[in-house]
Amino acid sequence: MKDERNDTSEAEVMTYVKQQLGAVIGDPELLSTEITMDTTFNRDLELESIEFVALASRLRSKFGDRVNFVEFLATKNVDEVVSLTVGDVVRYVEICLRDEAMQEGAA
Amino acid sequence: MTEVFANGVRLHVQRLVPPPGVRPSGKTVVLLHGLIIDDLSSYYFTLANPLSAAGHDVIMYDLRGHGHSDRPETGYSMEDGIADLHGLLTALDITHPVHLVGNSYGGAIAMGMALTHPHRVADITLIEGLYADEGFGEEMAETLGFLTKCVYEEKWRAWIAERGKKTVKMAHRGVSLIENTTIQQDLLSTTPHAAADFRALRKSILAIYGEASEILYRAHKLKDLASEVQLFVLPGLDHRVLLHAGPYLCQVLLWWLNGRHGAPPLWVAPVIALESAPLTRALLPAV
Repeated sequence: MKDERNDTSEAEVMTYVKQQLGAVIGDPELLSTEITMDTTFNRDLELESIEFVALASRLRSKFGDRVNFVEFLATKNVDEVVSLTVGDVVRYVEICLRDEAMQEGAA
Repeated sequence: MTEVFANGVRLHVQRLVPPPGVRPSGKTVVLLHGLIIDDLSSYYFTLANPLSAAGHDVIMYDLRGHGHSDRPETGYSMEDGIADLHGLLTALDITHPVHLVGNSYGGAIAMGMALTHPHRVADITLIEGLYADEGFGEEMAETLGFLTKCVYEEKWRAWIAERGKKTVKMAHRGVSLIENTTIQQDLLSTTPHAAADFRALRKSILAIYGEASEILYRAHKLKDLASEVQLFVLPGLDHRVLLHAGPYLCQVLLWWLNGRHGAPPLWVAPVIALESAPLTRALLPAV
């Protein structure tokens, strides 16, 4: 059976990330912030660490274990983590899904 | 899995299993965070991934009232904290002894669990850990009162505000936990463990404290009380050891969990911006 996750585009991932950010950010003022690929989690959204954990957890539930943010963040230094953008996360998810689709295609 | 009902409370749980291709060690490590301005993210971004990558089953959860776990109005005594942990292990069907790691107040829960349910605990690691000896409840209640007072004092309000909206939000949430729940009274009424209980404890304890920590004396006291304490004092660090020395903690923990073969890892001072942290007062690990 065809796996829907393999057909997920960057735009679809972005839409989902936006929805989930809305769910994990409690601050109404921040919820009105326009979210683009360049929006930073730290400076623009002031996302707390625990909110990032919640976001990561939601993305993993939706897209599967291949989307492993703990692993993703482990390769980054503090400055890189602090300056992470929504686009960085969207592209990471999209690459994970593409790799998964390629591996399944090759199998 | 992110939500588990334990002891009547919904707990936010994160569990990392060894990645594919890594041989599981068979050991479960439970990471317990500190009080008020802390949650499982302190571990998620530091120790959790390296421990899991080394083959360990890693469990983190937000204590009740913290992070994304439920915040009931009551039930914040040490006994409740221990019952939550016991309930969580039961809910996850973990019956083998686990390796507990407690940061600050999390250390008190780890020690309490080892003293009251020794068969559920393999060993204990205290990172700047507290434990419920005589006077612990009064000290905790006083510290919570101090924190609340700080948040309403102009000079500390300015200090918090300078650090941005995120810090303001955390501070208000912390004060809300103190003001809208029974946490202060519950901790004040803690029944301390007797010195004889600590002396009778037959669990290995890895204790890692900062040289400049306000609670280093507790580590020395514990070393005198319990028989199996291995103490590491990290030069130049204060109470925020987990925040400032994560990579070294990982090395020491892996050495500890993997059987303590050979000499312990050599200390390498982290390059950190040492900002003074006037609000630490023994239980704020990450201001």
